[in-house]
This record gives sequence, C-alpha cells and structure tokens, in this order.
Amino acid sequence: MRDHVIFAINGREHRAGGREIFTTLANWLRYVGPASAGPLTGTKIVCEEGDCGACTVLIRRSAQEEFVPVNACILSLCQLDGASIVTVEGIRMNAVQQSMIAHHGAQCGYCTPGFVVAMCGLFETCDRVTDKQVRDGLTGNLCRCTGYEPIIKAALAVDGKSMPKLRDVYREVPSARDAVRIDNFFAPTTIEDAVRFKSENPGCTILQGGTDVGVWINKRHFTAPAMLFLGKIAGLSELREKNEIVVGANVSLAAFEVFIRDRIPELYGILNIFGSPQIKYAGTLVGNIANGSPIGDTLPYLFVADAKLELTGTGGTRTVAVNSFYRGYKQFDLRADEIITRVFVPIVKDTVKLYKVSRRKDLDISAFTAAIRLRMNGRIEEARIAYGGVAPTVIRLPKTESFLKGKSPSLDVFERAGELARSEVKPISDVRGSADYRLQLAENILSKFWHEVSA
Amino acid sequence: MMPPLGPPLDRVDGRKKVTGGAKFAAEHNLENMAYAAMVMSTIPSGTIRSIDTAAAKRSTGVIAVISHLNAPRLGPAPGQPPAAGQPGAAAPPQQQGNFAEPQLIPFSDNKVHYVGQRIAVVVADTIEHAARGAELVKVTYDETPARLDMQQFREQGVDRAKSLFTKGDADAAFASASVKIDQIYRTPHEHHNPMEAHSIVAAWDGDHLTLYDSSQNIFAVQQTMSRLFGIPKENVHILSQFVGGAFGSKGSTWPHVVIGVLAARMVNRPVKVFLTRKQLFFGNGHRPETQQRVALGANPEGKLLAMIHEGMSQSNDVCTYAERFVRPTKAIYAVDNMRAINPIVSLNLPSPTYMRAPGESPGMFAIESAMDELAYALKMDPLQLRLVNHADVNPEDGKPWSSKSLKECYAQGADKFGWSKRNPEPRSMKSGRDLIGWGMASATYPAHRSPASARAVVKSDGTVTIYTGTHEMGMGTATVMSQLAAETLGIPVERVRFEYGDTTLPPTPISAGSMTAASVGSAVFGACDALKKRVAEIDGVDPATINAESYHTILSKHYLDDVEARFDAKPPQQEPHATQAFGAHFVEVAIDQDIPVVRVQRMVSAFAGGRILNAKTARSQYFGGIIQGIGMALLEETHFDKRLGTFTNVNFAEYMVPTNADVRSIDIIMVPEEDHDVNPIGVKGIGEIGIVGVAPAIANAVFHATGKRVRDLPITIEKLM
Ligand SMILES: Cc1cc2nc3c(=O)[nH]c(=O)nc-3n(C[C@H](O)[C@H](O)[C@H](O)COP(=O)(O)OP(=O)(O)OC[C@H]3O[C@@H](n4cnc5c(N)ncnc54)[C@H](O)[C@@H]3O)c2cc1C
Ligand code: FES
Ligand code: FES
Repeated sequence: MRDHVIFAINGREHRAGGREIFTTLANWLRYVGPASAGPLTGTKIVCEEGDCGACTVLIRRSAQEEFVPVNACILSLCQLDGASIVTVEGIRMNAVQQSMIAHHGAQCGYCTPGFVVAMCGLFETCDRVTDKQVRDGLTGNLCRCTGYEPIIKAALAVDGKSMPKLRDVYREVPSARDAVRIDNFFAPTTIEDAVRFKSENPGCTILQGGTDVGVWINKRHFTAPAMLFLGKIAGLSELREKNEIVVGANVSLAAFEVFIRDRIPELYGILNIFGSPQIKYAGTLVGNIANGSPIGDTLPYLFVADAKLELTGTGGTRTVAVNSFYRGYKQFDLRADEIITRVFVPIVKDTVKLYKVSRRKDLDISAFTAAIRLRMNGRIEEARIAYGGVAPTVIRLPKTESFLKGKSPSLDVFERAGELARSEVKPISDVRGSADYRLQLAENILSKFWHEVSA
Repeated sequence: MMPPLGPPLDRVDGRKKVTGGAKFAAEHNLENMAYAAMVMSTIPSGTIRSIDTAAAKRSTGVIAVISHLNAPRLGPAPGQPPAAGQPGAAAPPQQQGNFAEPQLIPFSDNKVHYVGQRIAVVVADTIEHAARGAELVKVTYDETPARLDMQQFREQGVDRAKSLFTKGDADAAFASASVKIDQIYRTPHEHHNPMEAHSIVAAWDGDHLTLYDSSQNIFAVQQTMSRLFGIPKENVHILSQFVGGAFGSKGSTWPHVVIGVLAARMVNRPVKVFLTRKQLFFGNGHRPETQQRVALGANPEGKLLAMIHEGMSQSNDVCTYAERFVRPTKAIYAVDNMRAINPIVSLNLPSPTYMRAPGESPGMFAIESAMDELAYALKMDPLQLRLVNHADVNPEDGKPWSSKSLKECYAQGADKFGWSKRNPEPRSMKSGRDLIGWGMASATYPAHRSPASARAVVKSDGTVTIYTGTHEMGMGTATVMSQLAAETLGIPVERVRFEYGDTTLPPTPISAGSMTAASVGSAVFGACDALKKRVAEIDGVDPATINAESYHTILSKHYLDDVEARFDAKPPQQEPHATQAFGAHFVEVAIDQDIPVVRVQRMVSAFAGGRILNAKTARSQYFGGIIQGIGMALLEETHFDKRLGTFTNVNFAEYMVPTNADVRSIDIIMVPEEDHDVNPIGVKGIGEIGIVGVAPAIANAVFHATGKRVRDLPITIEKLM
C-alpha cells in the first residue's frame, strides 16, 4: 500500500501525496507543475467543468492502451496513479501544430493548445482523418473566435505519417500496481477491499471518471467523508458479449460506444452525441447509471431493454433490474456497502428508437430523452416506452404501453398514444425547458417515431 | 497604388500559440506572488451592514482580507470615453481613461448596486487558498428595494447616449402609409464569454506599477490607474502581449483590475487575479437586454415612407453605457421620415458594455426582421424590397459614401446562394419531414478611426521593427501590420518585426469598433512611408527607387546603425464622406416538424469592407463574427432571475455557444472595394460586421420555413412548438 500516487507528465515521473492529491490536474499543472519545469501554462482553464476542452491533456494507463484526450480541469491527481500524461508542452512542433499555423487555426490562441492536444489524440490511431472524425473528435473543444472552420481544415490537411506517434515518444507508463491509501482516499486493487472500505466509511463517494463528481467538487465545493477509486481493480474492466453485453464498472463510455457500434446501433447513435470525447474517455457507463440523473442519456435504452445491474457488497453479489433500481430523485436500491460492479445490457432485436432533445446538437445536457421499443407482428405485440426529463427519475409509461398493445400501427394511433403519454408525465420547468415544452415533446415524440419507422 | 486584396499570410505569432508558449496575462509568475479572489455581493440593492472576516483570516494561507472597511480611498476615475464617431472621441488615447464604473470606485463605500459586485477581496499564498478564503467571508446586508424589471420601469427611460434623431415627420408619414409593420422585437442579455478569463498580475515598486493585463485598451488602463492611484502616468507600465479573446469585454477597466492593483499595494507583494467563469458573468460587462419597436410605413411599391425605431435597453447608475441600437437605423435605408432613439432604463443589474457590433447587432435584428415582415405584407421579394430602398447617400446627413458596394454584395450573395429559386410561400419548401426556409438580411457597420502612433526603425542589416502599443486579440493585427509595413517599405515580410501590447510603445486607441486596422494601419503606413523617404533623403535619391536592398546599402554606405521615423496619424477634423462597411447574408435552415430544432444548413455572406489587407485573417474575422451571429440567433442568452436579481446560467454548460457541429457550410464572398477616401490605407474594418444581420437572416428563414415569426431571440425549440 502506497501513501502517494505516481504519474508521468511528458515522460517524467512525479509523486504526489497528502492533500495535494485532491488538486485538479489542470490547477496543478498551471500553478505548481513538475519540479523540473515549474508551472506548465499551456493547459488552459476556462470553464472548470468539462465543457470547453481548453484543458485537454492526453492520458493512458498502460503501455497497451492508446493516449486519449481527457479534461484536466475535472480530473484530480488522486485519479492518476499509474497514468502517463502528455500536455501541450510535451508535443514538439509536429504536423498538427504546423497545420494549425498554416490554416490560421489560432486566432486569440487561448483554445488552441486544447485543440492541438485533442487533434494529436486523433492521430494516435490513424494517419488521416475524415471530416466526420474531426468534427466528432473535436466536439469537446470550444472556440469563440474562429468559427471552427480553419481548425477543421487544419486537421484534414495533416498527414499523420509525417509525425511521430506520442505512444512511441512516451513509451513508458509508470508502474504502480499496488493499492493507494492517502487520508480518506482509497484506491484498492480488489473488489473485496473496495466494499470493505465502503462499508467502513459511511457516506463514502465512489469516484470513477469524475465527470460528475469532479464538477461537483469544482462548482459546489463538494467534499465527501471518504473517497473510493475503483480504477485499479483489474476485474472491473470486463467488456464482452455473452448473450448480452457485460460491462464492468471501469469501462469508459468511449470503449462502450465502440463496442456497441454494430451491436446496438441506436444506442451508439446516442453515445455519438453524448458529451464529448474527453467526457466519454473519462466517464463510465456505470457512473452514468449510478449518477441517476433523470436525463442520463444511456438510461432510456437500459429501461426498455430491461438491463440488469450486478451489485456487490460485503455479503456477496445480487442482481437488480434497472427498472426497479431507481426509487426517487437520486435514490437507489443500493446498500451502503454496495457498489455496482457490472451491467448486463441486452441486445434488443425489436424496433427501438432513442431520442435526445437538447438545444445544442453536441455537448449539451438533454432537456428530454426517450426510448420507444415495439415488437410487431402486423399488430403491436408489445410496446415499451421510457422517458427522461419528465419526472425525478427516468420512467416507463405503462398506460401508453398498454394502449398501444394489440393496435395496428397508424399515425392516428401514435397521435393518440402521444396524448396519453402527455397525461402520464408531470415534468417541471428548469433552465433547459419549461414544463409545457416537455409535455409537448412527450406527445410529439410518438408521432415522430411513427414517421420514422413508417418511412 | 496597393492591390485591393492582400495576399494571405500566415500569422506571425502562430508558433507560440500552438505550442502553449504564448503567455497570457495570468501566466506571468513573479517572485513572492500572492493570489486574490473576489467576494461578490449577493443582493441587488442595499448596503453592507457587516463583513465578518475572522474565519477567512484563519484559513490556511490567507494574507489579507480587503474591503471598504480597510481599503484606502482611491481617486476619481475617468469613465469610458465616447465611442469613435461621437463628439469628444478624437481626444488622443493617452488622455482617456476607461473605468467601466465611474460611479462605483471599488471599496469606496458600503453601497451595493447589483448582485455580483466585487465587495471584498481575499489575498492568499495560492489560488486555491484565496478561493477558499473568499468563501469564508460572511457578509450581512440591509436590503433596499431593487429595480430589476425593465418592463416595470419602462416609463423611466433616459436617452443617455443623446441618440434622438428625427427627420421629416415620421408619425404622420407612418399614419398615412398604405402598408405598415409595427412590431416589438427583443434581444436578451448576452455575455461575451471570451475563452480567456479576465486576469491580471500587478506588481508595485515604490510608486511604480507594472501590470500584466488582458486588455483591449492598455493606454486607457494606464490613464485610469494613474488617476485612481494618484501617480504619474509614466509610472504605470501596462503589458498585454496576448489576449485570449475579448469581443468588447476587455475594452474597459473593470473592478477586478483596480482591486488586484490595490491588493498588491496593500500586501506589498505582486498579486495575480484570475477570475472564475461564474465571476465573469457579473463584473465584466454584457450585452444588455433590449426591447425595440420598429414601425415601417411604405407605399405599395415598397418605397419606405416612414421608419420609427425606439425602445429601451438595460443599464445601471454606476456605468455610462447605453446600447445604441438605433445607430444602424440612420445608415441603412433611404427614408425621408424617421425617428430613432435608444433610451436606457437604469436597473440594479451589473454594468453592460459593448459586445461585438454593439448597437448594430441587436438593432439590425429588429430592423431586418421588420423589413422581412414588410416584404411579406407587400408580397414582395425581401431582396427586392432592400434594393428599392437602397441608400445612395448616408440617410443621416446626406453625405456621400466614401465607397459602398452593398448592391454588389446582394447580387453576388444571391447568385451564389440561388436566391432566385426561392418560393416565397412559407412552409412551401420541404425535404422529408424537414421544413426548409430561406432568409436574408443586410449587414452594416461604421468604419471608425482614432488617433494612433507608430515608430518604424530600420537597421543596417535591412530588417525593420515596427513599434506601436496596440493589442492582439486574435484579429491578426501583428500579421497584417507586418505585411502592411513590408509592402510600404518594399521589403519581404520576413524582415519585419512587430512589437505591440506595451504602454512604453507609441500610443494607440482601443482595439474595438473594428478600427484597429484603420487607425493603427494608418500610423504604421505613415511611419513606414516616412522612413522610406528619410532613407532616400540620406542618400539623396528618389524614394521611388528604394527597394528591398536599398536599406542595407544606404545605411552601410553612410555608416548608420539604424534610422527611424515616427508618425502620429489623426483622422481629419471634418469628414466629408460617410464611411461604412456593408454586407448581406443568405441563409438556409432546416427544421424538423415534430421537434423543431433549427439547423443552419448553409449560408452565403458577402461583405464589402474596403481594402482587405490579408485575405486569411479577414476571412477568419468574418467567419468568427458569423458564428457568433448563429449563437445569438439560436443559443446565446443569459437568464436573469427577477426575484433574486441575479443572472442564473453563469457557466458554459448552460450559457451555450456554438460548437463545431453548429457550423456547416458557410461561404464568404469578399467583394473587392477600393476606397481612397476612408483613410490613407483604404480599409474599413471587418471585425464586427460579420455578426450583424445573421440573427435576422436566420429568423427570416425560420419564418419562411414554418410560418412562425420569432421576434425575441434566441430562437429556441420551445418558441417554435
Ligand atoms: C461536459 C459534460 C458533458 C456531459 N454530457 C453528458 C451527456 O451528454 N449525457 C449524460 O447522460 N451525461 C453527461 N454528462 C454526465 C457524466 O459524464 C456521466 O454521467 C458519466 O457517465 C459519469 O461517469 P463517471 O465515471 O465520470 O462518474 P463519476 O463522476 O465518477 O461518478 C458519478 C456518480 O456515480 C457514482 N458511482 C460511480 N461508479 C459507481 C459504482 N461502481 N457503484 C456505485 N456508484 C458509482 C459516483 O459516486 C457518483 O455519484 C456530462 C458531464 C460533463 C461534465
Ligand atoms: S477548462 Fe473547460 S473543459 Fe476544462
Ligand atoms: S482562437 Fe480564440 S477561442 Fe479559439
């Protein structure tokens, strides 16, 4: 057991212990920095909540992995044990940077290091990028000056063969296999140790990707009596298909997204517009489930597909259905000692459509989400509908479901189903939309569904 | 003389920016530096009863807590000068201050004017300790009734900007017109949200101040500091090498600068201030909410007979700002009867300020939406309506234009867009379940200029350095000015160095109002021209014979290490011409019928902005403006809670700006325009016109697609359902 974390910045190892491990990587880089170099101010801090990408760094946790982009502003040093990190200072005038200059990708230049780093991440696994790859790859980076066009052009012009891959420049990844315990922070290597710690520390918060928890810390000055990081438990990285898809607690949303591309294309489509690459590389599917937000984007599918959660506690494991896991706003069927260890995601063969309604196409939290699943045989044999953003949790719509059952589908039927759906929900008004607006969405989404499936 | 379109040239500072080596204000670290964090008021109106600093002072690392209770009184501060083109604007920049809130000198008393006012500061050894300390400061207040709702106080509007303009009899002409539009349009509070937070590093050495600032106006900051702290201007050294975006929000000296400098003086250490995103929403300016009535009267042929543009915008008592939304009214269409006025309503809200194309941007939303409504009322093509009312001379004063190529913008834009294929009927164009809409609007922005100075020095090796105190916020000033110098001197641009962002250099005006190229460019041009002549004179030759090699040859021949020339460029006292840039936007939107999300599918925008010094940087400026226009149309809005008196969506998750997915095909046409009268270098400024007209063009396209007229921005899904 160690009392410090070990991580590498641009190939040089550093240690951090004590209260310092609760500093964000972005703050540490900008105000402290590696002992040899002092503050590294190329990494910018703009929003401190994962929304702009100005703080993007590349990270990998083993030599088998590729470097991927994450937001340093919502990542604490305590999450970095065994990680190798590359900041803009670790990239030495490569083809990406030259192309950014040539295409005037930098106006004021404040967003630029974040873009350069994110773009370099894209070229770790390919030598050329398509327009779609660049646009998807850079959704997490905001620029207020350029209008993005010159930046996209810069990326499209890069020939990745003309620059070294960062994985070859920074080959070493710090070896840090053992558990870490610093104050009330614990990063165990086994599930048994994890649940024991959790049971012994009431109010303990699990910190995974930290894309939710990190934002609470920055914005709400959230503190927890104890913190538990599961990232070092090897057994929780499982991602495989066995009738259904088994997803361990450490599996990132990005890895899950790639895995389901051909297996569950609808859900892949939602993950495609979920947050940003930086958020998806850090965040986990289990974190999205355990955060329990009524507008969590993966939830509606999990509801209509009847996904199951494996919960592990000091007394062993049990399985609960997602449909009965949520008991109220951020209240779960989860005991104090339990952690979610795996999710079982069924691959649904029926017609399924998923919807995420938000004001901005990308990088926006939903105002309303929906999953509609129909099994048809001339008539509707079974309908399952789950809505998010209309109640304290994601909910199913039993009345609308049973109304649809047995009907032969038509626009009229779905319009009537829409009216019924409207009467089944009681949304509230907030910054993302008024209650009336959500009611209207609850209604319209069913006719939209019909138009789509009948087209 | 010079070619109308400058060749694209790569930015000279690109390398520093892409490597992370560009040092922005907060990235300067000085020996023994401390950090300051602001404490903000939580009530909109009243007085501070007590400030309990005990817990903060006990907190780790805290060095001092400063407020009106223990701060020294500062001198009165000169406020923001009138904008270019207004009386008094010609005063040299070194004589102007720019304190954003002249009636609220920080820590001068216990009065609270709005939520978010900086009422105390905590200084500590690290930024985290300072922030923690600031949270621990406990403030109690005596609240007084606050003025929070513009509607409620609309009768109390004041024409602070002396904007009233009348011509003919607008009301009578409107009353008798056969076709009329009379509507109210609204634009919301918006925040600039530059990526770089406002920040400073301040250090005192006796009564000498060195200040790294993120500023669009360093000479005015220098003057402001000199007045507030009662020291000679020469003792104040402002450096602002890189500015991470500004859009108007860094043109004034905001309270955090004064407070940081004050803190540095009181703790006797250098102090760094780096505001949080949330804090930026309160004490650093915003585009204020407007409500505008536009009444248009026309004859059946579409000729405008009357135009009334009036309404109000939010301001407060501590600043001098007024949103001049009727400024474009006086410049855009030929109409004989006009009344235009833009009063402010003073409320207990943070101080507004200019934001990219202030006045024009909200004003043109109202005018160009109303013009579209008029076109429908007349059953006339919207573009045709604009041609019928084209202003051949400046409607405000009848002066001839120095140049105007708006008709070319219309023609080229319409042609490229395919406007002639538009079916005018709303909801008539579809693609699958999507409704398609086409809309257009005009754009305009005045071509300003202010006094500016530059010095050019040539060395015997033939290299030249240009010294001028201007700013670089990403507009490409350094690049463009190097290029202009090279051209004027007849040397390759690689031999030019450009030094800027420092008050020890020759003074320049605020970099705003799209006038940097014109103002600083005129000075750089003048200095280089003078330098070339001086070098020719030394050798007794005709300046026309000077080429790239002459400088080295002549200086060596005469044993000179260097030769220099300085030029103080001033706009003429009496301007015989009206100077204005113009443009036109054409937009296609697609809107899903069930969930009416508006997507801007494609845009064609044509601009005539005088001579273009560098096609690449110009394109970037237009492009950036257009994207902010898309943001304004569809996303950007700061919500104000009238019960609590505070802005609520004060972060990037809820204040939405466009991402790359919001930007599809945008075609920019730069209509070549030669103008020998606007200024010596023929440029009109391009930084702001890009945003003007985008929002109404989109709103007009939305109407065409859906039949629904949205008169209050932004156009959200909700408003279309
Ligand atoms: C900029 C930004 C954009 C975002 N966009 C989206 C979006 O489009 N859609 C969306 O749905 N969400 C979005 N989110 C929210 C967030 O990214 C997701 O909820 C993510 O899945 C959380 O995963 P994590 O690993 O980062 O969780 P963490 O922040 O580490 O944890 C989240 C919660 O889950 C608990 N938890 C984590 N693991 C376990 C476990 N094994 N057992 C029990 N409890 C556990 C934690 O204690 C905490 O309460 C966004 C967030 C940000 C900052
Ligand atoms: S600072 Fe914006 S994502 Fe980190
Ligand atoms: S270049 Fe200024 S924010 Fe991107």
